[in-house]
Amino acid sequence: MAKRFSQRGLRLYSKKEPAASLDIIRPTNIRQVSIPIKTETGLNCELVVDFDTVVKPGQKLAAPLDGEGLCVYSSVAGVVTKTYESTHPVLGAVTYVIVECSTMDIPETIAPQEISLLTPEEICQLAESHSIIDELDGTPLYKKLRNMMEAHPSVVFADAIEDEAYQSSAWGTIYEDFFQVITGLRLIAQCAGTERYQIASAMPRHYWRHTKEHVDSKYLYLARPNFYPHDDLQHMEKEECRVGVQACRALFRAAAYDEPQIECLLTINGDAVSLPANVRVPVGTSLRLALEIVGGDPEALLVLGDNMKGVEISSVDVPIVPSMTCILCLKEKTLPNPTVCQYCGLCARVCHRHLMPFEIARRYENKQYSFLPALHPGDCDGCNACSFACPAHREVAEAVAGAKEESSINQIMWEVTPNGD
Amino acid sequence: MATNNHAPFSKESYATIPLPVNVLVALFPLYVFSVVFFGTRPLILLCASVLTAMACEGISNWLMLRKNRFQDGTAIVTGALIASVMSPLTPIFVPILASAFAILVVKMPFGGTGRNLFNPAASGIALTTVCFPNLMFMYPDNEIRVSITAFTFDATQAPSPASELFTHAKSSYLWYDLLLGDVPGAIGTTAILILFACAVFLFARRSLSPALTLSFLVTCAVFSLLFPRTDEGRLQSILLELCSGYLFFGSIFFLNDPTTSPSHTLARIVYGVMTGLLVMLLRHFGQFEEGMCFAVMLCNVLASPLDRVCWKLLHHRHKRKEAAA
Repeated sequence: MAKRFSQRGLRLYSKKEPAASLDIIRPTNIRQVSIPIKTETGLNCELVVDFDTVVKPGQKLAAPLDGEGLCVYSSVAGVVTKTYESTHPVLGAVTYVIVECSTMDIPETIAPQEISLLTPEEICQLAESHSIIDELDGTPLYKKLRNMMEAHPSVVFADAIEDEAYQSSAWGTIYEDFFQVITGLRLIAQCAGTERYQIASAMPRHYWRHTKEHVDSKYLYLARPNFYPHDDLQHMEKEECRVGVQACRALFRAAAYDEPQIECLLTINGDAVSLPANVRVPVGTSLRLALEIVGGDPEALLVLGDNMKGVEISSVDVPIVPSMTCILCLKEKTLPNPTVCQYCGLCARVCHRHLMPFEIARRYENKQYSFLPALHPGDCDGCNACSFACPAHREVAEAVAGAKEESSINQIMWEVTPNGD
Repeated sequence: MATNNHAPFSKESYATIPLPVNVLVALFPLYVFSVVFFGTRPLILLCASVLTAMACEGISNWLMLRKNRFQDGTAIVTGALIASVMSPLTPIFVPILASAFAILVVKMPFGGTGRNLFNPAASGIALTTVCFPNLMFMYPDNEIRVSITAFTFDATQAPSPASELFTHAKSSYLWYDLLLGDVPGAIGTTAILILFACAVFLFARRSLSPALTLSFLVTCAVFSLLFPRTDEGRLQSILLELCSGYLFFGSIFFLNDPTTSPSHTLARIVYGVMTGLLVMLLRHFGQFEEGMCFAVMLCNVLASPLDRVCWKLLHHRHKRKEAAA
């Protein structure tokens, strides 16, 4: 309780509704998907099928050149037509392969296979061969599992703390497939060699009564709702034991259905969307189509990620990949002009790294760089809470980021030419 | 308008109402009270003070080649605060002089809003207190209820609780009179209960820092408990000291000026304690019955250094904790 009062951060008004309580939407009118096979970070594959081949969902499209890394699987049933190169806001420069969809059948529900007792090494190979990507940071799951096997964390968390205002994709996954998530998480815990595994979530308690499957509360780690940034996340990072909820679900499906990760779930929310919802689409679906389904305005301000840490995306013709979990569609393209800082101290009150953002910004804007190292701008982790809280609408976080860069340059110079004082 | 191209994209849910508006809303009931209690003179003083402040701000911004001449409501707040601590009998030129001094000398030469070193309202009051102590501290007798208009020049005067404390006279006011404001005093400063409600409102709106106001009031209370200036007991001493003069008013409106007070919580507590001690010392040994404005001005200088020192202290502690964890 005392910790709850001393915690520093913002109290946000939740905007997850109605997306959080609605069922997940699955589009059926997909014409083509563009699946990345070669990226700047990670993938480096060559096509293993010829053009004009008919492929099934889950069929291997491309395999890594040097034999190491993730394979690429087709996410829909259709015909492979061509490859092309483009840039992607998450992956950088990418080579895509286009699969033209033939039919979009709703997959039949098959009973899962009995998951046999797997050794940690087998679980790793399962994650690698089914090319599961952790949606939290876009790294392959098998690398995380290998790290866990070495680090032996005492507890493993499925991170569903969506501490920002709009995103609810992790909650949506749990809402529909709690059993799959918790079983996948059990496999991950087995791999890490621990008995303790929990789903960390900041959804209020009453939400948990309405999940489609019964939830045992011993699997839950309930964090403080509507609070940003969540300090528990940092604790988890230290132990290297956070995995995404969708990765857990994908691991279960790999074990039970022998199905690679070919779907991803993303929240489309914001005031320019007529029906905010969670949408489950095959990997490679164009964002334009996903926006059409929920009635989003493609001309509006599009944000990849949530309100606090997102980035603006300029084009809607972006293929959806597993590390995209939230898209915001906002009407407002302009903000009120910033006014003079009044030193009200709100930014210092919300800073969870215990910094003085207003002082750092003042020194930085006055170009008094020699004062910066004493103010520790390097501790900032870019949560943007100070900019959000500023009543004068100043971009405090941007100034702090500049100061961080400047002080690191200063430090390097000091290391090269140290002088007496 | 600034383009919305980096995070955070939507800010509308936090701190939407600017601080000057909150302060003006909080001042409104005080003026209703004073008009009912004294007559129309407080409104005339208020208008004179606010118009002077705005005119001075406009002229200075014009001289400084700024496009936006009345940047925000801060000049209105300064004018309103100055008028609030005037006696209803004060001639009209006194608040005009105070506002002009506050804006033209204390605020604008340092760069205007957010850059001033001293609290403009407190320094305006300080100037007129030094120049015209008789005009500042002559209060109308509350027993004889006459409406004070613009043309009232010779109302019966009575000693305020602060001056009774100052001259060590026996206090003639009861505790409920003090709380309800039925005592001789300045326009907006006598009604302690209304001021208390204003403080709660501003706490809720996050315009006011509880750390600063409470530490200040507690220091004053402890000081008056230890060193009473009246013979009627120590508890009565606390009540008289806190409710007399514009100590309570100043603890809400002067002390909490965001620009001139520290921003760090620990620094705010230290600042409140220091100001409280200074106010009580000035009341005991000063030349005037009320020294709030001088105490605030003296402590304004220390706001920024206090911030830095206290932040360093706590940050080192926080870092050590993090390293240990």
